[in-house]
Amino acid sequence: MPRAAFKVLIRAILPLFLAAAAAACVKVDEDKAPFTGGTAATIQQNAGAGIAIEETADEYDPHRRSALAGGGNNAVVGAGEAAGETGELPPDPPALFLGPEQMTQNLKRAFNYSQGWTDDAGAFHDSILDNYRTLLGGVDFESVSVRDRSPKVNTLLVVRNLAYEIANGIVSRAAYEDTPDTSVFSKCDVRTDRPYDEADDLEDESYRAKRMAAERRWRAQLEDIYWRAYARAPSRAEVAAVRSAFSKYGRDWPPEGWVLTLYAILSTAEFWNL
Amino acid sequence: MKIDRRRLVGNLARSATGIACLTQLPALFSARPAVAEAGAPARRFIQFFLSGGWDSMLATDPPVGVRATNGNFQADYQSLEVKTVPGKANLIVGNGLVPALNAFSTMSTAFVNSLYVEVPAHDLAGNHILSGKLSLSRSREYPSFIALMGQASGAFPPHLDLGGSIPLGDTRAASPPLAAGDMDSLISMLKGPHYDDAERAWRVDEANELIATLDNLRYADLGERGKKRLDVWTSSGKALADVYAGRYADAFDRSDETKARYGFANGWDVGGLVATAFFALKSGLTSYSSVVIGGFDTHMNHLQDHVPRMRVFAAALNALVADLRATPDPADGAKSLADTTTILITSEFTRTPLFNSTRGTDHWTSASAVVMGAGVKDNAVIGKTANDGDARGWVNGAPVALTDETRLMPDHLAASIAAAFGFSDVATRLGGVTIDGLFL
Repeated sequence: MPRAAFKVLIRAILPLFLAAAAAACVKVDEDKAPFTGGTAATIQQNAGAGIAIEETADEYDPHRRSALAGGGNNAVVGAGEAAGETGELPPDPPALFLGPEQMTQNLKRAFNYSQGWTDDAGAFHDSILDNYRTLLGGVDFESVSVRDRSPKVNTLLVVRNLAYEIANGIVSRAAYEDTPDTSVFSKCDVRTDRPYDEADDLEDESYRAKRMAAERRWRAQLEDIYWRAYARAPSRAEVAAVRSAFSKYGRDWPPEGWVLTLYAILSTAEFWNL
Repeated sequence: MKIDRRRLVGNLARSATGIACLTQLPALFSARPAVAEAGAPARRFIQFFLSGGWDSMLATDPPVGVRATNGNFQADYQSLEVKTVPGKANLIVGNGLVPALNAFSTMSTAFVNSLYVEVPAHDLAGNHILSGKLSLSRSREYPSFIALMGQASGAFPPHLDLGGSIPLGDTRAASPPLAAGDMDSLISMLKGPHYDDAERAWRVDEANELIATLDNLRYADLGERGKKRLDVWTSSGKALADVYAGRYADAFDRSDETKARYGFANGWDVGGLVATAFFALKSGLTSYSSVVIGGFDTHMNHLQDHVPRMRVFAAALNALVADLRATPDPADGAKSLADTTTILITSEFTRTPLFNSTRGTDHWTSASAVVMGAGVKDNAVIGKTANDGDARGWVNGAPVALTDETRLMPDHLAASIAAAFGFSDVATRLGGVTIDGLFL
């Protein structure tokens, strides 16, 4: 073979050879590898290879099994279900339901809200965690050791009740306490400010001006709550939806409208999912 | 537990070689659907767990005959009334359960005694009884078998926990239950948040409408891919609306008449929890309820504290059975709920036969259970403790010396119930060894 041709051949082959060798030497850092879940296929593979098997929940995975059976109220099949059979990451993994620990932190930071008590040693006992931890898919390392991030119907039942408790708590401390806590309701008077409506048009000009000012404060407050809950401003359509409900149920006594508004905002998919 | 020579030899061989665990493998790899296993009958299950360790001598295993006076049992038991269930000569009931005689006589009833308790510590023994699997370390918890059965039924909610939590292990396997500490909390949850005492009250449906509107507006921004990522949330939300619309809470009766029959003042006391379990079944909310009733860990003043509490429970049990018998099964009007409901009453262990220095009793290494209702072999007594109250083995319907192979275990009781309900996957997961003669 002519020397020049040999050089060309080496130049062509060598990079391929080096790349193959490098690939063979790469050690996969399992901690950093993407989690693909323990599918039945991989468990079978491990069993065949004599690898110690930790019992997994997959055999009882309600989603997969419900999907196979095709029914039941718990038959909530996420985007990743089909991919779960192949062991590949789904293109659109299901949204992650926030854990109860994350939720209590969010509530504290966004709404200065917590439930619980402080013991003599100064330790805070979080009632949301104590009462709802496992029901919200969390772990307590006593009765539950593996997190369930798929909200079931009963999870949502708890979410709704919790959202109402929180909404009621936040509004009550601003509307009913002798020394109101206005850390959330800082943009409006929670007891008087409400949306301007058609009935206000029938009043005199000074009243209308007062109501318009109250409307502006109400909107500023709603926007502030949206930023706290969702880190974004509300859309026009969202403001309209809230205004409509608020006018119906909070016109005479705005705190009632705020409980409904906060309850709805704290119950949405956007608030509870990543 | 029925063991023939072939099984005995097989068990010995497996345990000696460590192959026993391999019998679990088919269950581990099973991909069969959990929902409505083929042939699974439509049945209901209520489990009462009397937390703290109930006294079997006041329940299913009173010291009678030789044992009444052999000195191994506290003499105080001799002065307590013991009754035979009318028409069921094998069922001898200790003083604590005497108020439930009517329930036992009108419903198929079996007693299980001499369940072996490896470690008589509350958490470990309780988890063993409730899950049917023993975990000697707290690093690993197994789900309660009622949770697995509820999950396997495919119903919502998979199971209802009243009064206190039960081990769930991995909630991906057992699913978080619907849980409530008392009747009022459960009703409140089922009704959904609402203002019903204000002039311009908003109701749960109107609040749902606003939530749905906000969700839909957001989904529109997210596009199809974003919406798909929230599939689980969305479908659960739709089912939630059905729950609110189902008006399950309306079935819960807190009238004075009900309170009198069940003997409760509040939804969280013993009678209140028993009544809550009944109404949960009657409403169609769930077919699987677990009720945890505490207060049985009487290390002091045993008889003064333990007996009344057990009798209150027994009286409430009478009301429960009467209500089950009087309520038609919605799936089959010719039957009552009593025909399709199985009841388990158990505790983590029993108590020492002799009193301690404070006239209390401590933990003892055996446990007992009452199994009643649908499918139960009537008038059966499984297991027999020794004349000193110790657990004994049980083979082919007769007591034998206690060995690793002959002991009657919580595993066997749990597997028997799961198998009787047709949940073969769950029974297999629990070891697959069932108690012969407990169910028809």
